[in-house]
Amino acid sequence: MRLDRMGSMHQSRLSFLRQFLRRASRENWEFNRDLFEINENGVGRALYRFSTPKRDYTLICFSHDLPDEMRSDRVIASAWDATFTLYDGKPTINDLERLEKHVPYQEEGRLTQNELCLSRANRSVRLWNYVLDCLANGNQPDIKRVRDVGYLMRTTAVYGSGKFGSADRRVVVNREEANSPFQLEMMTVYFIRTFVMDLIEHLAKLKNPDNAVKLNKVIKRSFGVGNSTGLGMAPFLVNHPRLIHNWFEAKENAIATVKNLKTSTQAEVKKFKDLVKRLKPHLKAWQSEHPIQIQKNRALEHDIGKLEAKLEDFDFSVDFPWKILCVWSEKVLSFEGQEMLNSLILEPYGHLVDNFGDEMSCDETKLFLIDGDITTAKLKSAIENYYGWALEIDWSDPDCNARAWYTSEEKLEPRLGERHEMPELNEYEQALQPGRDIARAYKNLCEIDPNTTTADFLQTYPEHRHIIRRCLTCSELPFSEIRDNTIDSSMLPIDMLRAKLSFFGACHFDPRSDRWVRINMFKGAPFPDELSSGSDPENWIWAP
Amino acid sequence: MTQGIELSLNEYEALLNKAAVGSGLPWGIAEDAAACGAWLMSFGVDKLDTWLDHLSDSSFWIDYCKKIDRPSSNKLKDIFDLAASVIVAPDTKVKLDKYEWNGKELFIRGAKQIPSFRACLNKSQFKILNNHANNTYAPATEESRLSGAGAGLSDND
Repeated sequence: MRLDRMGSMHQSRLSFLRQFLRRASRENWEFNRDLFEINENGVGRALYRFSTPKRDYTLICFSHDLPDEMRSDRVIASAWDATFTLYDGKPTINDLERLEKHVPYQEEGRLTQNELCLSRANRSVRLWNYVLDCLANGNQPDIKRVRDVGYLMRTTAVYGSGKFGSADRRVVVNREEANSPFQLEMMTVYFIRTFVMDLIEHLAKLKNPDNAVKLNKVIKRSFGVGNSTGLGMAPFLVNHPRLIHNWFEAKENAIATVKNLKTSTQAEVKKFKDLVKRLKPHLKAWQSEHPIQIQKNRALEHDIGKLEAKLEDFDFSVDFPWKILCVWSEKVLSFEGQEMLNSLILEPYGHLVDNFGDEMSCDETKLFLIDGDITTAKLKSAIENYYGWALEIDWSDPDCNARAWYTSEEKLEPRLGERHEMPELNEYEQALQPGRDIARAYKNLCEIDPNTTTADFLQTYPEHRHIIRRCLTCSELPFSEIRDNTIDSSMLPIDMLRAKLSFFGACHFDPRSDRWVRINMFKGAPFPDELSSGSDPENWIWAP
Repeated sequence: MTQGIELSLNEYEALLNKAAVGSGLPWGIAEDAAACGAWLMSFGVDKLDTWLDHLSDSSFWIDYCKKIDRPSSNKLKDIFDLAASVIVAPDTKVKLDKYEWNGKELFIRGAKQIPSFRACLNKSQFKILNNHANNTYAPATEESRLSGAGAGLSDND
């Protein structure tokens, strides 16, 4: 669990959007567009519904006419091109009227237990008018231009799990379709993608009723939903150690399962090789202007070449072929390439690995209990075993203690500041630097009688309670802690964002700075009507 | 209750946590204080005002944490002690005055409490919690606005 590797992770079979699509397809969810009332200015509302075997979920869309100058992806924005909420069931007219007074205002509004998610999206200035004009004039947009951007709208937040008054996670956690992490958020984004396609075709038709055409099916599939993610997502990885452990452990178990297969069938090898052929076109459409990502993608291009060459004469009839391939990758490929391979080898083995997806959620509602009778000698030893990396860091070096995580008063969002330039931030520092905090606790532990109990130690040093609880939680869970300094001057928050987004199932990571990343979700995936008419919920990945 | 505000239970717990930190409690103590407050609320025990009063006394919460870490030290004197006992050992039956925990459910004067994942607060309570929570937020400056969130490039594309 090092940041540089986390910052190179890719989507896999276990990613949350893939789990969502698999279930929707397997259970044959019925899809309906219950309402679509939008005028020529793009203002109005729409309803999209899935009927699962046990219940309905409806995305309520409010479409707005946003002046260009008000369009911002940043969390401090106050208006958007479209706003959404996922409703638990079928909303009534009264629900729509109530929600119209709240959803368009996002964080300023209030939801109820009937609402499950809150989201908003902005149009892509690069593509929106271009595609609208093409369609209105009876033409299809240029597929290369479409692929280079990859979306017509990007979400700038998708909130769930009780935020802004919506339903607490405990309301839905026992529902099969909502138990895996972020399943309802994935449903929200998937519906948004469909809504955006309907919206652009609808507006083209209103603009030029005689000549307008619909999007060609192949081009339409090339649109995913963009997402613009800032720092807000980074602390999540630190704040949910038990959950994160389950995510990484599930993926590691899946990889280990495939690596431990003694033999492979021709069909499995063919499936893998067919996917490898998609990598170069996928990479070509992966645009980024960020120097680090440009460099990583260049390395990945070489990696793909090396993998293709390796596969030309690789003998899959040897014992443990996947393990041999992975060991080779660790010597020859960059982290990007290694992680791509780790995701790819899972693809032929859904029947062996998909069930690990069921183990990725976690009941975090109960606070981890501290056993006060543990001696501090034992505590010290746990720290030495699990946090040895943190004890080796020289925390008096200004570079090692360079940043401070804090929350801004303005939008209550996490931010990262330079501690030495803004010393006032020390007062507002969040508990997001486990390495430094454990080193501080360890120093005090070294000064007291080793037979002291943890309860007594924490009575004397209540300031260490958070990190001691964390240590006791994490020391049993090998993937719960990022084993890197989260306040180092060279730390890149985008590495944290990338890891989390890969678990969502995102691709085309395009950092806009060291703490801000644009991504694409569902690019290439079948639309709900295609899914219900039997389209493969899996065979669209690594789309260009 | 006068017209108030309704939060989801986890939103409420997060707000209690921030309020506790904002009132000066260490992070780890604040976590236990928030979990206690959320447990009480989920079972309809109306003790938020008392919880708020206790914020000014860090020794109350440090003692509370000791009862969590070492349950044998918990002498069950008030509802917070009962919460601590149930949080540590939910299967154990506990009785205190009008409150009775049967290992699964809470009864107040014999009436079974239906657990809820919502928190209803009056406006004054909500305001006090937010006032405390506000102490944890750094005042925004133009510098932090631009650099702290990492924007600066055009994101309108």
